[in-house]
Amino acid sequence: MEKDNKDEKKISSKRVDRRSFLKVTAGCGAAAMASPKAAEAFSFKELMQSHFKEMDKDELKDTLKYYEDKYSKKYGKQFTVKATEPMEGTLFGYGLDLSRCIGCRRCVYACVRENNQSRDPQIHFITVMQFEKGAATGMNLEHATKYYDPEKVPEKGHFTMPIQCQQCKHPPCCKVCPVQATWKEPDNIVVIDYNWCIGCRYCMAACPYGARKFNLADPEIPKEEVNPETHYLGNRPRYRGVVEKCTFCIQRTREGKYPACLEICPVGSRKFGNLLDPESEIRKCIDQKRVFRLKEDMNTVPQFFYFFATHFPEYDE
Amino acid sequence: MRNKITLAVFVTFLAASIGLPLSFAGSLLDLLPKEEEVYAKLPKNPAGDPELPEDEWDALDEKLAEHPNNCVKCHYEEEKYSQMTMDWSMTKHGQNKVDCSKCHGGNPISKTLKQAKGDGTKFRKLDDRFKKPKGALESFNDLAFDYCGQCHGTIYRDWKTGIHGKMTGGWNTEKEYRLCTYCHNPHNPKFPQLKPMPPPWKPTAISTKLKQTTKTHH
Repeated sequence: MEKDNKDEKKISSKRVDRRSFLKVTAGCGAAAMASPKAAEAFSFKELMQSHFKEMDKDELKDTLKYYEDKYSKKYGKQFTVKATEPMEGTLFGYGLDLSRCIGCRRCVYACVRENNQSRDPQIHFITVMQFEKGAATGMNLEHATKYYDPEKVPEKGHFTMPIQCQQCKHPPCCKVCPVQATWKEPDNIVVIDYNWCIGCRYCMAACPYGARKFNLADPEIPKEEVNPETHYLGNRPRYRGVVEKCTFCIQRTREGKYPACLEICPVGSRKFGNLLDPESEIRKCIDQKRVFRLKEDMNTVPQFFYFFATHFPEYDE
Repeated sequence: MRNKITLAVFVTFLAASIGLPLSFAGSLLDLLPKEEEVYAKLPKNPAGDPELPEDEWDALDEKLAEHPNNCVKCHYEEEKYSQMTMDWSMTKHGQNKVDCSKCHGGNPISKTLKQAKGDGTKFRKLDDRFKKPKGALESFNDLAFDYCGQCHGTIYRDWKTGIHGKMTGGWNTEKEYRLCTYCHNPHNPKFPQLKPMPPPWKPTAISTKLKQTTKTHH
C-alpha cells in the first residue's frame, strides 16, 4: 500500500497540472508572436480559442472578425469569413452522371480556386479516376488511374469517375477523430474546425474514399487567385498540419448557389439539390435513374449518387 | 405533324428579329415558353419568298439539277456553309435521311430553287450562342427542344426534369438552363472532345517540393 502511494506521488510530480500547462503554452504563444514566420501560422488567440460548436455569439463574431483581418492583411484583399448556419429543411445530395462525364478535370481546378486549396504542395479535393471499359477487373478502383493524360477526352474504351467527399450519413472520419474536430452538420455536410484539428490523420485512414487531404507544408495560394468569400468551416485559408476536404462548397450552397464543380462542368454531368424537395434535380435523378453509391458495402451511406442516364455505344469498343 | 413543323419554321423566322425574354421561376417545365405566348408576340406580316431577279433563278436551277440533295450541291461550294454541310453529312443525321428540309424547310429534291428554298428560313449565327444572355429566346434554334425532342424523346424527358444538360445559378435561387443549341452544334450535335486539364502531381514531385520548403524553414 505504501509502495503504491509512493509510486502515485512520483507520477503526479511528473504530471503537468493545468496551471503550469497554461504557463508553458502562454510562453509558447508569446514566442510564436515574437517570431514573424511562426506568427503567420498561429497566434495566442488562435491557440486559445474555443471549439466552433462551443463558441457563443460574441466569441464567434470576434473570431470571424479576427480571421477577416488576418486574411485581408495577408492577401491584400477584403476577406469575408462567414459562419452561415444550415437552412432549415435541407439535406444536400449530389448526383453524378457517369455516362456524361468526359474526364476533362475542369471540376478539379474550379474547386481548387473556389476553395483556396494549396497549389504547392498540390491539393485536389476531386480525384478523377479513369477505368477501362470491359476490363476483367471490372470497376475496381485499384485498377483505375488518376494520371491519365490523352490529347483529347473522352478516350475510346474508357470511362471516368470523379471522386470527392461523399458526405456520408455514417461518416467513419468523424467517429475516429480523437478531438471532435470534424462532425456532420444537420444539412448533410461533414465539416472540419481547422483550429481544432491536431493533424493526427486518423480520419484520412478511416475514409474509404481518399477524400481527405493533408497540408504537409504551408499552403501556398497566389494572392491574385485567392477567393475572399469564405466560410469558417469551409474554404478559409488553412494551416500547415491540418486535414481538409470537400464541403459541397459550404460557402456557396448555404446561400442557395450551386457548388463550383457543378457550375464549371461543360457536359452537365453534375447534379445538386435538396433531397427533401421532390422537385429538385437530385430527387428526379434518384427517382428516374438507376443510382448507386460508391462502396455501399462499407455502410457509410454516402449522400453522393452515381448514375448512368444514357448509353453511348460509339465509345464502347 | 409536317404542317406543324412548317408552321414552326415559318413562325420562328419571324421571331428571329425580336427578343423574347423568359422568366425563371418554379420548375423547369414552367420555365419553358408556352406555345401560344410565343405566337402571340410575333409580328403579323409574312416573310415572303427570297427576292431574286428572274434570270438568276434560272441559272441556279440549272446548277441544282444534277445532285440528289440540291442544298448540298450549292452550299458546299460556299465558304460560309461548307463546314456545316460537311459536318452534317458525317453525322448520323446526314447518313439517316435527316436532311436540310427537316430543320430548314423547303424540299431538297425539287428542281426549282423556289421550291427547294421553301419559305426562305434564315438562321442566327451559331458562333454567338455562348455570348448570348442565358435563357433568352431569339430564334428557331432556341425552339429546337420541341423539335429535337420528336426523335430524342428520352433526352427531352430528362432535360425537362433537369437531369440532362448544364444548369447554373442556384439550387435554391434562380436557375439558368441551356436550350439544345447552346451546347450542341445543330450540324454536328455530338459534344466535341476536349483537351483535359493537367493530371495531379505524382507523390514523388510533391515530396521534392516538400524538401525545399523544409529547408527554408529550418
